[in-house]
Amino acid sequence: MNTRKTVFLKSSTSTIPEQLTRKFHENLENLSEANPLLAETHKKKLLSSVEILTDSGEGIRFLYDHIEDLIQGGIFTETMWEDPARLVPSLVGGTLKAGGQHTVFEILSELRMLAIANETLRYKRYQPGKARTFLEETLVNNLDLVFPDHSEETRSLDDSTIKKIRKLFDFLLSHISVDAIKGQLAREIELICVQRPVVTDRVLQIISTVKHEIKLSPENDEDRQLLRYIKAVFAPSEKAEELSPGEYN
Amino acid sequence: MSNKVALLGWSLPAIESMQKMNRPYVVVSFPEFEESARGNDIPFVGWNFNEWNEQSNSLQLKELLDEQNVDFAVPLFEETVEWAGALNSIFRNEPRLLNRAYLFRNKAIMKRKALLAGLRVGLFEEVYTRQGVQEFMDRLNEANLQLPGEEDAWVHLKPFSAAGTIGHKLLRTKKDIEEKVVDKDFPCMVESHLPGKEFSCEAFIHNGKIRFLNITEYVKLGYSNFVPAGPELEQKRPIIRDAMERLVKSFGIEYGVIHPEWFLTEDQTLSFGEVACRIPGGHIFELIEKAHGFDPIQALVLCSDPSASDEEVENFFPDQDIRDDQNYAGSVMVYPKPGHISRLQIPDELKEDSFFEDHTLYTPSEHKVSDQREGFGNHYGTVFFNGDDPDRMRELLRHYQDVDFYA
Repeated sequence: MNTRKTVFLKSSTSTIPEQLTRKFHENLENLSEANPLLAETHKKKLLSSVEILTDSGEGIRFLYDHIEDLIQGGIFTETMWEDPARLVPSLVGGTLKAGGQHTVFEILSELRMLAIANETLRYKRYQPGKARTFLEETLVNNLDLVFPDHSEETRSLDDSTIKKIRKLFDFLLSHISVDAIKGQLAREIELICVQRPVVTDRVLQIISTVKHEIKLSPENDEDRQLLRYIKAVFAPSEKAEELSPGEYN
Repeated sequence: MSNKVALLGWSLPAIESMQKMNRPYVVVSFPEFEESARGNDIPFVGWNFNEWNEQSNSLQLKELLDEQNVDFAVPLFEETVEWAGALNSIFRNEPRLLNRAYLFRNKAIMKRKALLAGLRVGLFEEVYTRQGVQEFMDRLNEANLQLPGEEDAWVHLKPFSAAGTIGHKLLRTKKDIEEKVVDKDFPCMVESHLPGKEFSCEAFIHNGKIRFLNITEYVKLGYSNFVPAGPELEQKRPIIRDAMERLVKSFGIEYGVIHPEWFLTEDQTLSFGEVACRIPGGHIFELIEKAHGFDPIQALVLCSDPSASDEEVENFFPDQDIRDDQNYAGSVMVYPKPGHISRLQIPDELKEDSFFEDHTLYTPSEHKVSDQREGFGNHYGTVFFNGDDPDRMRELLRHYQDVDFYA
């Protein structure tokens, strides 16, 4: 059953405490005004406010709305995330799962990427289209985070990190629909199959997730390709389609 | 035009405060900081404070500072106190200023001065050997009328001139003296254990008068404290103020900030611990700023300037040392616990607490040199609190000073 819609439409019922936004603004202002040499302590304090905001959907939204201020304040200065052009989608998942400040920075990085994709933030050497592709690839590479209920991997993470990642992905998916990544998914499956040596685990995982989570229509060109993959795995023949694997045996 | 100050010591918070103060300043510190200073528009004079000889002493430093038109010096760290004393004695043509600086740099001399001023101090002595320490403990035991089998009187061993708790050893038994004391500790001071609740004051003095007196409540020495003190200590303000004025008068302090530690027993006996005349550790200045609304580093510079007018000084400070609607600012310093350290985990209940402000436990940039100097060893960072209830503050600090933030 497709529960996707329920998950990403659900909004957080908590409101952001006034003390938290006040501290956020205070620490951001201190960081923005500080001589670079003096910025370190302010950055640490600001990060502590940002971290709490990543715990809720409203907080993530708040951070997205203030991403330009954060960048101008120097939040990414002297960090791995300083230049978006040097980032790769394949590393996003691992960094998000790392916990602590890495998760926090990675979340901010994705919010920045989304702002670039939505053209609310301009970067000279990084175009909106490129940002959108980055995010779509990130989603495709991290289906276990997009659809966490089907993943064993997220179960080993601590609750706090899982919560943050879910809030982030809920937010990303409210801007990038799952439909948008279907084409990427089909291409991803092809790319994996073309590689040698042949390894099927990941492909089977993707196909399984698509089957359970994404609504596909035989009328749609893009969907047809994915439907063929699903059939290949789950129902290679008409008879197979009628029976479950257990019954077939 | 304000007088120009020489800040002795490299302190980023002090530099930041000076940049906001719009007063002329120059930083004097070890030459290795010169590059950072030049690259960030910080006026700087390189100087090696560790050397004091014929070729390298306050006269030479004064010449360098004259080139910068400096009018007075302020010590930021323990090791710069006598340098500031020497410089200011030349700036003001008052030789006694250097002697006065030495008062703060030798714990035994400082205690003798306090004793002469009529302040209550414990028993103390300068010792040169382990046997000296043992005999001191014997004398204490004797004074306590110790019977066989009873506990020994506790003895605190402290170097003469280290900052804060550096080198401080608590000796509870004769066995402790055998095991914990080493030759390298001597010469040093030993003193009896002072009873009562420990706390500190920060007094801003100008023209010999205390212009603002803050009382800091210690929850656990070296770990957590809050500003201002709760009502129980605040009620003792008259006694504390009286003792502070005696201290200021006897030490002849005219300009600057002093940070003495006291012990207060239930029967209102106040004992003098020690006093420093540089920026206190434990985030106290930061907490003062949050609780009282003024920048204590700027206050330190203003009070240290003999040419600042009474009016200027009076206008700088709040009218009252403590307000009716006072808020309390507290902090917990987080140290690594022994054992395996993995990931930082901030408890949810802390994040949701209305008294929680922020913390500095993250390490955002990869290659920063820390300028923290702490007698308890480097702490990982600090958690900050703010609220209107001192009892709740105390409980929160007591709780979180024991929480393991690294699971």
